[in-house]
Amino acid sequence: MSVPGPRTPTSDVSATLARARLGVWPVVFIVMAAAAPLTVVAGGATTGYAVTGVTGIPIAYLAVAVALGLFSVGYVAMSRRVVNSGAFYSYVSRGLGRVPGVGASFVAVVAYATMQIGLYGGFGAVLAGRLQDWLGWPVPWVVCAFAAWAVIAILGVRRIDFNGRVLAVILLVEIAAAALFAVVHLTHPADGRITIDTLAPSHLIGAGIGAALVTAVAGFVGFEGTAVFSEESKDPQRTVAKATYRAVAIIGLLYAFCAWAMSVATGPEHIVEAARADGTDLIFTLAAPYVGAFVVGLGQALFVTSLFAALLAFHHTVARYLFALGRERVLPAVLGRTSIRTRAPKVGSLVQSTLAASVLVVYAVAGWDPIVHLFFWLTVAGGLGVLILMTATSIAVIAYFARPANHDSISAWRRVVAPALAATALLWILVATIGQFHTLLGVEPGDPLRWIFPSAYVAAAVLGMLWALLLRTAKPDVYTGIGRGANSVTTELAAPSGQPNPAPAASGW
Amino acid sequence: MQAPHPLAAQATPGPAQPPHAPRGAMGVPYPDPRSAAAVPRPAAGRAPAPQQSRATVAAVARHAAPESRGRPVAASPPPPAHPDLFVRSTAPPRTRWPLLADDLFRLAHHDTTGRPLLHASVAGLGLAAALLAELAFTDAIVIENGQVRVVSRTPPPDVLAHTVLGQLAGEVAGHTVRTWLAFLSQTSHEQVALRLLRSGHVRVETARRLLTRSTTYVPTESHVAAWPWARLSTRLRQGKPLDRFDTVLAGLMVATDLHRRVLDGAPGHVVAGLRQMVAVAPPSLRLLLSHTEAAVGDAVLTGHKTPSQHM
Repeated sequence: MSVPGPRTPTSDVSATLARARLGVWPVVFIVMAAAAPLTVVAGGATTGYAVTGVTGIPIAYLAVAVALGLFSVGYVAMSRRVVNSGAFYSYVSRGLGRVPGVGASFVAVVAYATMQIGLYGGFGAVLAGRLQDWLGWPVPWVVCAFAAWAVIAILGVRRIDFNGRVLAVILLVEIAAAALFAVVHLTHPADGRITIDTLAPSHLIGAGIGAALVTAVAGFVGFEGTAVFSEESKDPQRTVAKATYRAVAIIGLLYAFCAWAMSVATGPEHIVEAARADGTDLIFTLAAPYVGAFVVGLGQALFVTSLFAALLAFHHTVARYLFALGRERVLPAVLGRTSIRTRAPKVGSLVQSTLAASVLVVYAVAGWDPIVHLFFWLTVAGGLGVLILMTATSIAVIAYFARPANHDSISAWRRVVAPALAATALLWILVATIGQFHTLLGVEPGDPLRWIFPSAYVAAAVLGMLWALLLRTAKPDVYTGIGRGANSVTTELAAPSGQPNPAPAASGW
Repeated sequence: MQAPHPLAAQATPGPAQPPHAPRGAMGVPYPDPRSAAAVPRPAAGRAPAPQQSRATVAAVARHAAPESRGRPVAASPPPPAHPDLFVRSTAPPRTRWPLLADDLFRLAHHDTTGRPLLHASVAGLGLAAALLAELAFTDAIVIENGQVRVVSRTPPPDVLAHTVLGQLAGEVAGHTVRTWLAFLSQTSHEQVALRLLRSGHVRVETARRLLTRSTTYVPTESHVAAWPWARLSTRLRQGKPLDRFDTVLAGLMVATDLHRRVLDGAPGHVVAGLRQMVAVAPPSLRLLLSHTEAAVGDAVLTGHKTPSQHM
């Protein structure tokens, strides 16, 4: 009697596991919820017009969509080869080395944390405005922001998230609302004619375009989450790729369309002053005369839920980044702890909540504007960080596939041409952004404030690299596991094939 | 390999007989060539007692376990699971299956209420790893380069282990440890609970809450259920060595983060010592344990099986 040998060529295991795996659209929904369409259209685009004074915001969204589409080609091709594939710094570690990898990881933590904290400003101000309008309650924005903070802090340590279906429904309604408002704007153009001035490619070489482009990049952040699913998707080779391209295309077209429609409704020459006057209400006030109060109210309510969903999504992102780095022991191992019962990355979550609370207190005490100084500045500063990461990742993809061992059957388009084009485009956006950062902040070109955000990333990158050099000498085992996230524990045992693992020293085995 | 006793694991230990009792002998049927010629090492303050009766062992469990949770047990009667008890034994081998998954199940649930202490997906991965560990422990499988390879098709005496080995052997292509962990984790909790149910160690309680029915596996005897906890907690806190079985169990505990509960309040060097003890396990088991820890960590990062839990 013995255990039966191989039975059938079809694999029960693969079939069973495939049932739990994700198709293209679920992945698209999950990542688009983090990108939060209505937050970007109603919050990001309008504030972008107002702060930068650039009318080319719509074409900026399209241009960024093209650049990120190119970026996705190499990103997706490499995502199958890296563990911890949801994190940009893993790509940098594999492509450019562990020292730049740790630099990238520090930049990533700063970028996502900054972006999440910035969203509190948007949420606080928008909710305070709604409470004033609807209920007549004069609640300060910071109270609303702290209310959201408390809820997020609790949801964060308990790892509670919106149900996937709820999220998909909210997302679809959000997209429908944004598209509906855009159609209303288009059917009621200023001066009775539809212009495509704000979509003219000439804006891309105009003054201040760097500011517009990084605003657009900030709106896309979240789409990169598709790669997390590379091991959990139905068809590893294609699901993630399709989902990424679709997410980028939908986001890009929707944002450009809505931003353009607003400029049509006000007339391209008046969009900046209208945005400065109405702020984040612009999309609603432009449509209000033509649709019922109910639709406007629904749109405004969705704006609030969208901001909240984005807050929660980015909170989890930061907590997971800190968890992965704690698990690698690049950051203190305590960050790699989870709540035993709920599996939440508890410590990382608490760290981000503490950071957010301190920043909110500073803004409240200083009396800075929640929309411009908190929401817009910090989310765009976060966008700048992600832009830096994506640029580094494109270069890392080229470097990774340049090694003959990694070629395999990957076409030249996917391993060299597209990443090179993406790196060029992203680098150009990056240079333009840093060159015009004063436009973004709405300060004079000579103001030292313009250097604060870019230099913070330089500092983070340099610190990270120095830390990596220290790890290389002080803790070589930690150094070897860099970029592997939760999988760093398997590093020491991943002996090259053919070599038996070293037998343990004297023991009872 | 001696003739299997198909029902050995299920039939003998009745409720009066703690599940750890057979464990004392499990090192024997799968002898380590290195240990065959070895002589007993000096025991930690205690003469080797291979003939220690099961009744004594049960009594130890009864005395040690009930007051044990959360604090060190007074270790006057030495826990039965010392290497010297069985590793060097020259007595005729008894076929006992190392029920690692049963003890991990006990560690992962409250000893009186049966309430789960771990997140369901982590418990699933841990128990899946324990099922693989039972086979690796008995040299039925080896794990190399992240792949699981079946080396012995001799049917294990335990029904569940037999099923798992059949699944492993039935796959033509072969899969990585991570794939097997993902696959087995889908059913491991229920399977191990059923094994405990068959051996009379748990009973089923179903509760109706609003629209859902929840099933809890309540231990029939809490001192038996608390025993792995008491044993590991005591030995680790006192810095005593672990036997092979407990080393693997401790490794599974670390991989699933349960050690933070079992060693709650213990000084840092205890946890460090625990990791060192686990590091002496053979390569197959060490690989299995580190892949389990990685899978548990990845489940946090990617929200495995529950994509709605993260965005």
